[in-house]
Amino acid sequence: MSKEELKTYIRSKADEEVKKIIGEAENTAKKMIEEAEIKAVQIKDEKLKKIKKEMDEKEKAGLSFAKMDGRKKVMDVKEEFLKRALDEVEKRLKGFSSSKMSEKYQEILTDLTVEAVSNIDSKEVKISANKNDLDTLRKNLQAIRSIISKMKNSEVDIELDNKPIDTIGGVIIYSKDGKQIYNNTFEARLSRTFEESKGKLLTMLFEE
Amino acid sequence: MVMTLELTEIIEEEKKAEKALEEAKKKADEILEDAKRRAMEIVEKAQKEASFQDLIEERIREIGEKKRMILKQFEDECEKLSKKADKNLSKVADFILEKVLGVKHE
Repeated sequence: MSKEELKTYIRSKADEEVKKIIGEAENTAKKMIEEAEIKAVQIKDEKLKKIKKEMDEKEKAGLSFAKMDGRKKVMDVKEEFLKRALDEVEKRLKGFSSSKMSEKYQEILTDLTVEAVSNIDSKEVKISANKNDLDTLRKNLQAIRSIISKMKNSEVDIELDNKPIDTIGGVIIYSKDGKQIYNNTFEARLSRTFEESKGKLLTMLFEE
Repeated sequence: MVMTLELTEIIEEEKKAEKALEEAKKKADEILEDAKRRAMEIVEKAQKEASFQDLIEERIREIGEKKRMILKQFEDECEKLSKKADKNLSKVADFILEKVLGVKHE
């Protein structure tokens, strides 16, 4: 090999090696950029997925609270009208019981007393009522005794408690030993009616 | 003498080749460093840009709208219920009164 041939060989080998080194570096660089771009897409996708999930949860919770608020408003309306119905009844009861001496009121008071006594298993009972009802009962006591005795098929000793109680109307019956009690005041009957018939009352209130 | 000169020229050529290789390695390092920097920039940019604020604001607006619609539906229902109850209140009071008194109250 001549000198020139040897120099050309050395140059060409060097050029070849340089090209190889640069080529490999460029390839590695290209891969690094591509990997970074893939990672960037992944970062965006993951963030987007996370945000969507967070927003879905936020929506679910928000709508759930809105529905709860709405349902509460509906319930409040229902409770308000139930209360208004009860207030109306109480108002009518007060008006009705102030017409003390009406024949109908006396009949009702007698019925309430008979019903209450019949629910007490005792031959000696005491009746509590408000002042006006005590007056009315006092007048009708003999008739009441007679009805109850007939109903129970035996004599029942009925006594009025002269200490008036605070009630719109009606009676509370106690066995004399104090072990049994039957509250048949208007307030108690109203409360029982309300508890027993709340579903029906709601249906009646909100039907077409 | 001629042989020595030729050998010197070849050694020079070898040195040039070595220098070219060194420069090539240096350039390769620079290419890799530059690529590394650009790759980091791409990732950092993605992390910064991935806030999706517009999307979040749009979803918040949509959720708000849906909540308002739900509440409106319940408010409409409350209004309808109130109208019905106003109409039926007296009838219900009659029914309760009848139960409380045990007789039909006139």
